[in-house]
Amino acid sequence: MLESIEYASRPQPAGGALVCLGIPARVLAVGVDHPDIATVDMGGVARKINIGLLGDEPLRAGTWILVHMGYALQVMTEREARDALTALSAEREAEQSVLAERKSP
Amino acid sequence: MTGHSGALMFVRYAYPPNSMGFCGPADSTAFREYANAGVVDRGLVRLAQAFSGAWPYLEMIAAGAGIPDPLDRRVVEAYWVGNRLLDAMPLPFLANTLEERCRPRIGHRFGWLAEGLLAGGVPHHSFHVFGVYPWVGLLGDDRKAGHALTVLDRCRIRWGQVSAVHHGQVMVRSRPLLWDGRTLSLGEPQPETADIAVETKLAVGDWVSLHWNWVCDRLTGAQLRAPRAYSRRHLDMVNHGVEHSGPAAALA
Repeated sequence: MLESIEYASRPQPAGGALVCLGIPARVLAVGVDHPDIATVDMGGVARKINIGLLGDEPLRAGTWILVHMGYALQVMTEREARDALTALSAEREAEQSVLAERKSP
Repeated sequence: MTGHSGALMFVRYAYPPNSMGFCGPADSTAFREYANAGVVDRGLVRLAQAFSGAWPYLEMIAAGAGIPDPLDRRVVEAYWVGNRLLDAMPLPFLANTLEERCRPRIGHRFGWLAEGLLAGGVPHHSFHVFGVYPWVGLLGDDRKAGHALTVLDRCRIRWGQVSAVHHGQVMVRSRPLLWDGRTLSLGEPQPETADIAVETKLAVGDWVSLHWNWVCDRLTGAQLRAPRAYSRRHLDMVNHGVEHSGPAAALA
């Protein structure tokens, strides 16, 4: 029953506002189906996203980009992407920790 | 406590972007099936917490209203549709809570988000769409304005009146978001086809809420007034109430 589930406060990691701006993804392939469509690795899941909003600079496999609502908004350096992913990972680990605490007797 | 209806209501509104891979857990089908089956358990709560955009707002509204459960129906309704809970939130509480979450990431540009709160923003989905997401700022770029307007229009919670019902789909007349180069506004009702996210009995003349290309729920008269009012409030906020388009600048 939902009524029996307690909600502990979640820690607020530095990346808590990342969703304001997007999620980092690594480009796997560009323009296979359409020039403006790229396949990216987003947290281990392959997704197709629109890269039409980026500049004219060619996008290569391996490039990191910031994705929001299915669109690439900007190119990121690998360090920026890793930092952001680390923050996201910390948030997820915090969630899992909270859930594990709830499950333990 | 108000039972399970809040969690199931959350599925109705969160499923559309989840089904397109924009947010939330990877398995959108399993997420939706909770609502179709009317089941709420720890698994659904965990999936709801994976919506890293919406969940902090639910926590914020619940805390501000003194409601222990972020998936209480009153809280969920406040965020997606709008209700009186939002207007009872003290401004200092909203500002402090948003600052805790956003300032570590965007630094001094948090002040630009705070402008939205000072201009009357409340933790409604339309605040997040218009005041936090980067798309309003991208309207100023002619090359990006069309895409940005589409995302803003589909991402906000819209409302429309059913004009025809088919199997799993409805024809709806709803007011599209318009951009004239200076301000955002709502146009005259236009017909569109929408899929039904979660099984819902609908009839011609019903008013429904829409998120992306999906019908979320049937709206009561009071519920219909809420998204209109809060959308108007946050459109006014971005049109007249804030100096900066902070989120877009944060991308620069």
